[in-house]
Amino acid sequence: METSCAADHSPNDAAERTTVVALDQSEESFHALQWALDTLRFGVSDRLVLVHARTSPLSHATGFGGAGTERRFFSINPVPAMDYDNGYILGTEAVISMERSQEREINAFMDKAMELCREKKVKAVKHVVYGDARDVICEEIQKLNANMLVIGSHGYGAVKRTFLGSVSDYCAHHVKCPLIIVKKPHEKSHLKN
Amino acid sequence: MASEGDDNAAGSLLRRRKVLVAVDEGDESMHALSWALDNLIVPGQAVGAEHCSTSDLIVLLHVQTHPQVIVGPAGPGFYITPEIIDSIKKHQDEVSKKVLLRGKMLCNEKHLETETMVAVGDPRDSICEAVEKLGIDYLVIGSHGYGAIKRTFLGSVSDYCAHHAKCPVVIVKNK
Repeated sequence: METSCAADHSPNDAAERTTVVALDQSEESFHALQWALDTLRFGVSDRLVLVHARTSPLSHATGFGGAGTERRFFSINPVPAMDYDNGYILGTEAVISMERSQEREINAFMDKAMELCREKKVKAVKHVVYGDARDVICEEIQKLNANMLVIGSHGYGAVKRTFLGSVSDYCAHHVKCPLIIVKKPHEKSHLKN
Repeated sequence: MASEGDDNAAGSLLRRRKVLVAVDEGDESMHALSWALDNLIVPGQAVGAEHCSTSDLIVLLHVQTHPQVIVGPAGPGFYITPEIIDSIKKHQDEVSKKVLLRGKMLCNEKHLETETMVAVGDPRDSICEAVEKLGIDYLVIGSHGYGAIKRTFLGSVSDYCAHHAKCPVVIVKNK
């Protein structure tokens, strides 16, 4: 160890630094996490907060789960949920089972992410929050007083971004802390990985 | 591109990164550089007089923008003579020197190997081109600068680079 001349400790390791990593099921966000784990130096006092914004499964059932239709809270009430627009009537059991299956999916990929962090010996916690990704990420950063955000990007062109929306774009504009936008390289380029 | 050979027994984690930092006269870009030096970049250690081969390499880039001739319907608004072009270039060169020196001094504090680079043209394209040409591992840029209108949340250059640069982009907001 004495022969290594790069500093063994992370810079500024006195203070605890919190890095938020935005995750969803996409390859792009996992690529961003892996890039951060490979490239950035995390010390013993640093931690990653893996944030996933969870949408209410009802919105998937209605088939239109865009921004603005999300509800912050999902309360189970005795009256069957009714969706007047599309004519679905969902009993609470159906909703609960959708929730459970969604939870299983979320736990699966979040645990995979935690495993990646463990492999690199980086302290990490999971935060799964109901809401739209844009708002959830910005709020978590504020709540945690995060030092940095790492977020993947689909690399959509300008037109697609306008219609599909871009979480990374929104965050780049609205978060106060430094952020790292990691795009997945499309083709094998000269870039080292 | 030969730094693959830097892998040592401890694993590829210690491969040095090539980091491009776009700097200009504004304080924002220097703030971005300092933040990156404090939080992201692997510092070197003063091992004799040589730079450590596993610490990161910083490439400081200053993009000079030269004013275009404004041609109105009745011909050019004013004529740009060769003398004016020369004096603008001379002034810009001085700015480059000052800005790059300032950046280099910040990097020297961390005993980092630094390269400086000057490009002429639109900062958006010049930065993205430099990323490709030099095989940059990641880009550090302030959120405003290059004369962007500061009342927007994100300057046009950083916004453009975030979408178009072929490497991860670190955007550092002004405090």
